[in-house]
Amino acid sequence: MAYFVKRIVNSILLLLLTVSFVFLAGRLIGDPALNMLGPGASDLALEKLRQAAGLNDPLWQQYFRYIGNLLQGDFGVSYRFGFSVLPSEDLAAIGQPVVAIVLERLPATFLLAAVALGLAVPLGVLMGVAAAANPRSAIDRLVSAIALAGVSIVQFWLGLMLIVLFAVQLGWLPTGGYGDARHVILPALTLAARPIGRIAQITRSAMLDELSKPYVVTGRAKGLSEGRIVFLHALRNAAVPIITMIGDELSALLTGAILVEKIFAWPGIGLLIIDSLSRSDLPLIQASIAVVAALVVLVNLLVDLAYRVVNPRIRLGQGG
Amino acid sequence: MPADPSLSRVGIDVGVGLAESRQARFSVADYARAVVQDKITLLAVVFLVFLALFSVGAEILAPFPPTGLNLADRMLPPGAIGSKGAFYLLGTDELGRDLFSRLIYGARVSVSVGVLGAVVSCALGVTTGLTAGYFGGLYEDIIMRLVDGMLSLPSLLVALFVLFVLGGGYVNLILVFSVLHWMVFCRLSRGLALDARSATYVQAARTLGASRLRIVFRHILPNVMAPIIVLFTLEIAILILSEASLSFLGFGVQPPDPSWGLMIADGREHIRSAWWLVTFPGLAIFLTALSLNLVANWVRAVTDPVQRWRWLTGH
Amino acid sequence: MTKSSSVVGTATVAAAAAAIVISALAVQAEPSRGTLVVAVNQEPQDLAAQGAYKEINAPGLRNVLETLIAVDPVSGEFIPVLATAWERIDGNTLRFTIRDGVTFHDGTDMTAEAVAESISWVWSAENAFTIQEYAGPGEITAVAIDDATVEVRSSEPDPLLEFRLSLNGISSPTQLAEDPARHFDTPIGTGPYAFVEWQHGQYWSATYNPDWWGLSANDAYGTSTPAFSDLKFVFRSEDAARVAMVESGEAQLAMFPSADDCARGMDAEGFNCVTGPSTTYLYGRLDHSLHADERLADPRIREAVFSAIDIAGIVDLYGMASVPPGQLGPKGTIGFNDAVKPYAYDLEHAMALLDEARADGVDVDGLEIEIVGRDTTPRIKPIVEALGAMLGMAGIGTDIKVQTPAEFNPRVRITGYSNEPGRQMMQVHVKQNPSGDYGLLLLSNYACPNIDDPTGPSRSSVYCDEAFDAKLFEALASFGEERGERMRELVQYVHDRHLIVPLALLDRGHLVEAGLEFTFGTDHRIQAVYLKPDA
Repeated sequence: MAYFVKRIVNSILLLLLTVSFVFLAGRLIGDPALNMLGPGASDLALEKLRQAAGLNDPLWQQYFRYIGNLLQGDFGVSYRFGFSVLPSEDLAAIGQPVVAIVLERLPATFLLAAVALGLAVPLGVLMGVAAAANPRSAIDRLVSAIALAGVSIVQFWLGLMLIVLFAVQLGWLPTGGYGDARHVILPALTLAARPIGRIAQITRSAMLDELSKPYVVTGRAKGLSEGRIVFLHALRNAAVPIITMIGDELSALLTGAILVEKIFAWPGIGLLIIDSLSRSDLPLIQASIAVVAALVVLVNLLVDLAYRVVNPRIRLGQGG
Repeated sequence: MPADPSLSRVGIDVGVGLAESRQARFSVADYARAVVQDKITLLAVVFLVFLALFSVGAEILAPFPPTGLNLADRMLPPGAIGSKGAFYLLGTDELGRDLFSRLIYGARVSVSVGVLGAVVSCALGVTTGLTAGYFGGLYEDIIMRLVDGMLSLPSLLVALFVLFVLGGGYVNLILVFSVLHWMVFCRLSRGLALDARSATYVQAARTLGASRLRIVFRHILPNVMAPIIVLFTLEIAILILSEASLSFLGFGVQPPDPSWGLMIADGREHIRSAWWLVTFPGLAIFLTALSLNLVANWVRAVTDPVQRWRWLTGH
Repeated sequence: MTKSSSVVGTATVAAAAAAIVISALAVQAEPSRGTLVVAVNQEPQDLAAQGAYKEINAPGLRNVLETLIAVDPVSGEFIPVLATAWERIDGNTLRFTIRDGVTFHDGTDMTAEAVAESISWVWSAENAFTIQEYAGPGEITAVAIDDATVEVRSSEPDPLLEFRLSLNGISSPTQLAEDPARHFDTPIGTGPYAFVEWQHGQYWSATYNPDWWGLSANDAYGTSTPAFSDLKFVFRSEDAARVAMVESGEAQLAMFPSADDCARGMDAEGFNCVTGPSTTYLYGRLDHSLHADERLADPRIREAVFSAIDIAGIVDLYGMASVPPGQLGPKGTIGFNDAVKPYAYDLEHAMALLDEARADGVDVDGLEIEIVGRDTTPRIKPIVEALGAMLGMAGIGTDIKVQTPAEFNPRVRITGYSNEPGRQMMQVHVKQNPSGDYGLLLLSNYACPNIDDPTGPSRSSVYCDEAFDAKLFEALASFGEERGERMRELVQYVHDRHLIVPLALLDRGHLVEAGLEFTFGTDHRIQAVYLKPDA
């Protein structure tokens, strides 16, 4: 139990460090007000933004205020609506809380990640099992080839190619955007390519390990059906590394979504990050990075804990 | 079963090769023959050798300069003959530059970012990992806590942000990759060092009075190279893919350096009228990553005590 | 730009002939078609009334928010919108007769008071909205002098006041009083479409306004009555994605197709590409007076740089553009100088000039000119790469960069360089000049900026010349023929000094579904009443 507590405390500390790093690094790029408003801004507008956002205070004050607000779930307000305009001295009255903007985008990213994972897990596991059950066969070779291709391909390039083929040439699917079920197919497929490969690879090797174990031989000798052996016994025993890999790929999906969302104009948090970077909307950048980092850290934490629960052979506390 | 969940990322078993590392010895010729017999791996190796040659000798091997301007020969399709009789194997881009030559120079940029990034992170990670694993104590605790922490961060996102702050470019890209990728090497080599601590050859060296650093770098390191080489190869592939992604987003290599990711980004605008501009750089990245993965798989197989015998003896 | 010069003095404009023809069509009818989907290149920063001044701020906003007067896309003349007539009182003052019986989308009446309040709000110096980039010499305020008349005053004489009043949207003052925060994301105007929602990251939409005044007025603008039941402006930053949307029928209109895609659209089934000139110009500004490398003050070096640039080649590379007439403003602009010719492309001449400078001991070979563009500028990368290669052919060293706004914007201002070694930069950038007058062009590009206050209109200028500035300010305050004469002289003056090289006058294209006739002017506004479906 102490391990769990330690692990959680570590994760929180890590997030705090990340947020601090993002805050301080964000100030290295120069005057946030000028970056945000651009060279076209008048002195008056700059000064108003600085005042409203508290940018005139000493950095340490801003930092502690930021962390303090953050602990209360307040990430500040986006400069977005304050871009040209600060009719009120009170930015909070005009700007949109960034946390609301980020939360608004999360469901789209979750949906995309869920569909991608929903494609990748059954496909990857089935492919891996099929390959392991028929080692060195044509199936095995095919699965290995697909898996290798999946991990070697450039995601955004695959996305571009899929758009040209399925949306433009064939006209079967929309080119991008958010809407009915047809919209999610291409981005999810693009995002799933890599996890399919990774999951197939790990399933294959874990299953090969299992299928060479004595209990399988015994099972066969007892006349159990091959399907029963493979799916009921071997796959269950091979589940631990596969689940670990799935967790790993889930956190990779959350960041991989940045490029895929851009290519497919999918209004998730990845697109938001790209937009906020190109607009230098510092509060929004800080919040969206913090939220994604928190999600990834959370996923990693859960996977790690689940791993140790599922597999008691691992001595708790080992490895820090 | 991997002893450590993170190692499953690279599919490496920590125990690989240790038990038998001092036993069956195979000559270089055995390895060479094994490569030749495995046709696909052979193809991958040949591709990588050509890639390395082209990267190093781009000035000599590329038929045209990668930059410059030739407005008369804009957007010619693959195999076209240009206005002055020039032959363009893979066509030209919108400034009339030969795509094949740009791919060659782009290989230099993309591959060197991948290799240098992997070299630096490997050096950093292996040094800290082996010493942490062998020395143990508070030092190990601190290093491994750092590793755990950094590994659980989304690295592409952090890279994006850091490059946004620092500005993109070749050097920054390598720096960022080194800082964000050493942890996998560290975790792997720590595990290897932990196992090696009780190995007979280490105990022998210890009784002979070798210093701790000497044991780590002269005795342990040469014996655990195989899994590190596998990881190193895979990391190059991962870094080349990351470079492409970051350059595509505009945060990586800056023009006029022709990186593959940047070439895809540039060609995207013409994807319908000049398909070759996007297709070939994408294929180049794909084939490179694929070859590296194949080679890594092969190295893993031949260094695996169970599989090695079969691979090297051809049975 | 074909817009004729605005007439000074009394300019009560009767409804344009075209508008009368249209009024015959203006019968009250339900829209015949469903949703018009427009693929736009970026999400707006906000949908505030002030943002209506530039279409690029928030494409389509003018369907919701209307102006007092507008520029007719065909004739280039001012036409009545929410004002039925207007009159010049003096150099500082315009008087507008407000259209009767117009209501805002929130149901409140558009009174003269409401109009005056909205104008004063948008142009207030205190608010410092981005519309100030088109501000005149004085601050603009408005008052209602009776139920039907609004008087707009500029604190300084302003020859272009009509132009400025064709820019700002008129929005509901009730909203400003009751819920000012919503002013920025929920526009309430008087237009043929009423705002519905803004889904961040996806689209904003509007729906047909059956109470629109234009349905019963005999001088309504547009080439058709609103034909679509709804409008949807979908944000797609990827060029290829916008094009694909029109090709696949997901959208009826797409902004900013590339020259390739436009060419394909010309002979494609199902959609067309329509192009037209814009008031946007692409230019290269070579450092000159402030913190500049002293070699750049050498007229031979400057001329050599300009002679090494193949402007026709750049135009060709850009795609949809034409060769600029050696100056930043197009023909028809007040102050346009016919005698000025484009800088000639002459590589040998460039090299000879450099040799001459070399012979005089100038370190020509040590030059490394930074050619910098901002990544938000369309097609900027091939342009700066080509410029680098062109200067390279003349033997001039270059370092090319495409930067994000965060990197680029601070470098535009010359402030902050006093501690650095002399800068050798050529900024490659686009600007717009919709005013039809050289005043803004000269002021923003050539007047000496105030180093201590880097926010003035000339903040991005790199040129300091007292004699020029004195003449410019005289010209800016003058009216009529005298104004044109003074400006023409200055255009020649800056041309001779090789300060800025005009690289291209940009055309803009739109991909449009076949069967839709799209009418637009140099401002390329996307308004449903200018989209006419085939019968």
